[in-house]
Amino acid sequence: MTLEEAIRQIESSEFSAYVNVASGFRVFIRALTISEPVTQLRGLSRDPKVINQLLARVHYISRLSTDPRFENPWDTSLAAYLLTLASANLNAARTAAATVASLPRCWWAARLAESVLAGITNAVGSDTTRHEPIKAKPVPMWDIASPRNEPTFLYLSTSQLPAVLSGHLAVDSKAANHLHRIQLGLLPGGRIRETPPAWGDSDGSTSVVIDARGSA
Amino acid sequence: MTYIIVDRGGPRDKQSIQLATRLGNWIRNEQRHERSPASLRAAEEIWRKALPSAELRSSTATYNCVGMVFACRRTWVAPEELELILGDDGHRRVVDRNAVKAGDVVVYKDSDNKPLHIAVVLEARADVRMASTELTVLSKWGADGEYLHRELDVPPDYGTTTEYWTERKEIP
Repeated sequence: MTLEEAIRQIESSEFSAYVNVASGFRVFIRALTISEPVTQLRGLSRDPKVINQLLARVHYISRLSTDPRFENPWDTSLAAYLLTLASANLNAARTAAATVASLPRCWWAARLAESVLAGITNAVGSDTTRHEPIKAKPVPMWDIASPRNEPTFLYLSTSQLPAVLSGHLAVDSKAANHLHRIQLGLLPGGRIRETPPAWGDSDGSTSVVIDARGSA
Repeated sequence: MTYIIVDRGGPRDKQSIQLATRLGNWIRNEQRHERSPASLRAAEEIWRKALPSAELRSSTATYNCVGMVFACRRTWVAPEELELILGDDGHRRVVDRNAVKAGDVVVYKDSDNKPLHIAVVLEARADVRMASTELTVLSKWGADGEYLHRELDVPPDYGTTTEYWTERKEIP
């Protein structure tokens, strides 16, 4: 199967229907992994040129307009590309995941992107709906709290990042050398909330913005 | 800018709705966007060909099988929540398949005994010739349709390992 053929199949409505029958993330990843076009794509992705082509495809798709009334129609295709990249080149996967995580109305692709960004590279067979207990040491909220209740900037290693985000995410130790800039909004009396604030851009290439509230 | 949803499906997730077990434990859930009509039609066509005996009842992506059974079709609940729900809601395992009745549920599991799918039994009919019971069930197939089907007429991803649970009460 050529790259073009694999992409054509992965972006077909038939592929979407087959893998969308999954009831949960673990089943979805399994369905994706064993599907013929993704298996073929994984083989093709040993070629660095294919990695670049997949990255370009993800970026191209991310710029397409979609109907705001419905789920992103590229959801399963993006998930397939992310899974392939995650098994072939982690840096490329993280770049693609950063793009995918910013797209609206994604379902499976958003979960997979979060797994990749959190350093959970062995997403196959895992489930992120209910996070497992941490391997990384959690960062106590008071260590990163600002006394002025204002947004502040911190530099944390990847190994700390997921712990900050949820308090209980596993992390891949191989990715621990990357640094991330994190913008934290510290408001009184709360904890991390789900919606990132509009506090302006951070300039890190793989930055993650969360809205954290100062702990008691 | 990259966003990561913190506490996905939890009480602070604005995509979730208030949903708890009988014992009051939060059931993680998320409301999923609807898929486009073209996408739903494609799914309907595929499963009509692959499993012609299954009868489509409804086409929507906004809830899944667990959401259909335990959340009145309002939201998406991961199968990993099933253990919590069945335990907290006082369900008990029905070991004898011939004792299964309408209203009981079928849980489909993988080889690691992890739940993949759930269905509600609509009819349990004794098959005298085969000395067994034929089950007709209703279940939601992921983000595809909701189907009436025979117990094992399901997409291959759900497997063929099933167990049965009931919340039936008897007067002491």
